Amino acid sequence: MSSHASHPAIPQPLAEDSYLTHERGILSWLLTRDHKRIAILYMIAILAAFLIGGIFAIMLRTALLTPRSIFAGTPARSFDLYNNMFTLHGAVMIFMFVIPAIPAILGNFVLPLMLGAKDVAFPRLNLLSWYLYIIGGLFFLYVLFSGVVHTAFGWNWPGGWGLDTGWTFYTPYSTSRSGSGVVPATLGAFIMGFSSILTGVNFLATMHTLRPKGMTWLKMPLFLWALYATAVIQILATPVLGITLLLLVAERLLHVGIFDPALGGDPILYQHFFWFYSHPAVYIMILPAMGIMSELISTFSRKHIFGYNFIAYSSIAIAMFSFLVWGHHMFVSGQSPLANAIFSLLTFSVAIPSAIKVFNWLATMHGGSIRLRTPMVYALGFIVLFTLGGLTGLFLGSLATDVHLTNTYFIVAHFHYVMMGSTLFAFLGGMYYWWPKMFGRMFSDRWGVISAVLIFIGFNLTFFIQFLAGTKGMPRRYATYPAKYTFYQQFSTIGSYILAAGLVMVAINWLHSLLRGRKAADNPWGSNTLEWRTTSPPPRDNFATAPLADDPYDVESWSYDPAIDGWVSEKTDAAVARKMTNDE
Amino acid sequence: MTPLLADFGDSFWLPTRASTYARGVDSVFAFILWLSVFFFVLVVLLMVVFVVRYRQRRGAKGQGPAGRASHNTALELTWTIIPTILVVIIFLLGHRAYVRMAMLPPGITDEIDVTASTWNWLFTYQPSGYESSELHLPLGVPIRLVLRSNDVIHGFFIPDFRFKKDVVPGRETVVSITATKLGTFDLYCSQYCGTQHSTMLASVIVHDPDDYQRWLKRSIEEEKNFDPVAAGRLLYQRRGCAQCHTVDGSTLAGPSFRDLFGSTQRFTDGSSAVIDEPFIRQFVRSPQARIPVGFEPLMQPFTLDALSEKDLSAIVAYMRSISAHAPRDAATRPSTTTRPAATTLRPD
Repeated sequence: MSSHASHPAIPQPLAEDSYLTHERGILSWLLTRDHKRIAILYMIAILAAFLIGGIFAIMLRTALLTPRSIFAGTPARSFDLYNNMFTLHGAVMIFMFVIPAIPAILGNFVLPLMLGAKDVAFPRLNLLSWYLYIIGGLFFLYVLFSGVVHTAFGWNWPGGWGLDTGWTFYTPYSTSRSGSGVVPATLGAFIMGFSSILTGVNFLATMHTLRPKGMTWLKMPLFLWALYATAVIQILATPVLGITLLLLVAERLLHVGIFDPALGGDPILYQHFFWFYSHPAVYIMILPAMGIMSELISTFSRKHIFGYNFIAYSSIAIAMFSFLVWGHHMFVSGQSPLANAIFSLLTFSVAIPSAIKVFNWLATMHGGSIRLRTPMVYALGFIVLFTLGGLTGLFLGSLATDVHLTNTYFIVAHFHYVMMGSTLFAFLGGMYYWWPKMFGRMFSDRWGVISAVLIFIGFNLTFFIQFLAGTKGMPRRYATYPAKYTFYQQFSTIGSYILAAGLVMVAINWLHSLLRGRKAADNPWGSNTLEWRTTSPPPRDNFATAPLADDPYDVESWSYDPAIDGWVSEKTDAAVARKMTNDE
Repeated sequence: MTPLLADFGDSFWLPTRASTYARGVDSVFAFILWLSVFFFVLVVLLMVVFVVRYRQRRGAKGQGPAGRASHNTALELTWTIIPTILVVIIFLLGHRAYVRMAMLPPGITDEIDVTASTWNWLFTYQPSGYESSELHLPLGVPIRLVLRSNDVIHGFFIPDFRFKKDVVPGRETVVSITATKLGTFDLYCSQYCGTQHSTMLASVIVHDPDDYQRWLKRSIEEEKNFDPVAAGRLLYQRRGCAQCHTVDGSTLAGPSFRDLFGSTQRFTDGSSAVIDEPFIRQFVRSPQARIPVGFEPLMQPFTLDALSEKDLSAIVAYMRSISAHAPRDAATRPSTTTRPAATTLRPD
């Protein structure tokens, strides 16, 4: 994107010198230490992963249109293809999309800006994190090609093929059976884990050392509180996943005898290790989403966030509780009834901070001046989907009902409501919200709203029916299924096509904005957090003068200027600079 | 909405109730459901009302009304404390119903061993040791189930019983179950276990207690009089051959047993062999040594514990009986005469 483009369709050229145009050439991107450019690099890679995971999802849903297995080849190969695809759908979506999406793209871009800082605390480490993500991703791509290409075309990939363990890599299936893709996939997840840990370290250091004058902990934007809580989980939990995955590789290759009962190991031990990471990881996925929500709801209600302290502390509470509830994934696995009871009780503790957040968002809307722009439509969608996802979690936290519902489509529906519904909606809402800041261009709000509504409808058609299939007993991870579930599956598949169409519209809207978008104002929404006080897009060093932080939700100090379709205040970079010159 | 309700009894959400656990689970389910409906409606209603009521006025791009409270500790404590009380209640209800499933009632005399292996269920009735591929249960009698896995983790799941338990290799999992409804129900494998996980299904057949005893006695008697072909036919089901090898000529994970005996098979290493008795005996013990062309190396070795030489002989006899390539020697009786004997064994 050139700032000197003379195409008539672009009426106003962007600011002369932004981070996008500051340096040129592919190397200036690949070797950049600018947090904003690293965020864009992440955006490209993570959206590519989302596309791959999404294509798998649509293929899986299409395969489930009929109770029989529909892929070509022998039935065994057709089953294998389905099983490889659901594994890669899950693994790619979780490790490469949902976990990194919000922290790595939006967190990276916004965190230093929200602090009025020039960059994160460790810019080189930040770039290293991206490369680790890419290297880990290449391992996944290898598994994908070796597995799916083999099962689809019968081509024997050198060094073995296939990964059909599900993203959970349960032993002893993963250590004694499955395809040999287990080793590269776990190594890929291991490497990506380091990307996650290093990003967490970087964010924590940045928030501790680079907060501007006037920004006490309780004046930090709530998105940053959420990123802080997320970073704590990333640092404390991800190493456990790394160790577990290495043990898994050792078990598979060297037959050490930790997890495989045939070698004297215990498969339940693996589940404890795995969920000790992977349950907190669920909050790595949802906490940043909640942070975005607080920003969106306040901005688009034109009102101070309600109950700042409760929201901030509830993020920390969720991070703490998240380490105490992993056993709820194992209620039917052979854990003792006492352990089950303790984990069940602790699990419910997570419901409380989540409920606090939802009610505080609603209270923020009360008495506001609500504008249904695209980001706000996503925020409202989030409230509905997260409430449903959270409430259905009660069925799974409760022991008696979990016994019936676990490992059925009820679980599938529940975690899609929380991870995909909630996190994806917050991610898309956040992308639209910060899009003008990232690229300096506006998008079509009308098409933004239409696609958001379409995604909301498609999502609910796809996944609500799966609750019903689950309560009726349809097990998950089934390549074929008893004919009595056909209606549920077909209904869900049709919904998934609508969902996919909505997402394609989002992509078109974004591409159109990049190429033809109207120039964005510095503060198009009237938010009071610091990133809106610099130009859109920001210059390489973010701010001409370090901004002074005040209450991040004092949205009422900004007033709308129709001439620029943006909000102005005496607090902008330019205004502060002007004032300083006048004072001198 | 007829398709939603078809085949599932009369409840919108849950399937038929067919065990003593079902009522307890369903009442907890109903409690959480109505609580969830209440809170969902509350949240969505508030959201919609606020969006309509406080929607920015058309044309006015200015501020909302200033001076609204930015927090209210009493209100916030209210929506902290009420959910806390409610989730504790849910926990207690869920725990009470669960304890009944987790604790074995004393004095159960009937035991059935459940053996899971990829991708087959085998049920062994103690003390007789009689085996079947379907789970037969007497109505209203508590049964002790001993769950074992020969390989990876499987899941023992009967939706109509509201019961599920992972079958973990290397340990015996003892549970109890009491059927409360006559009929045939589905048993699914609920923990992913490989290629044909989704075909690892079995039927649960609940009999009247007297019928159950009669069925068991008759089955044991009949089995004693089996010739090798009929025995092989049964073992083909029970030992899980049927999961991958059809007898109608169609191909699943492995070649169909129809016309397999006596045919010539090529292998991926370029060799070929005639499928005769010595070949089968060798292949079953080390199936990964040579991979037949057109198939994946999915078959796991059968140890002598899993399949004795005598049982293997019976299966070979059965394979021979359904193959056009098999030489009709005096040792093998024509399959037609044995079929009626085998079918009478199936009760339903």
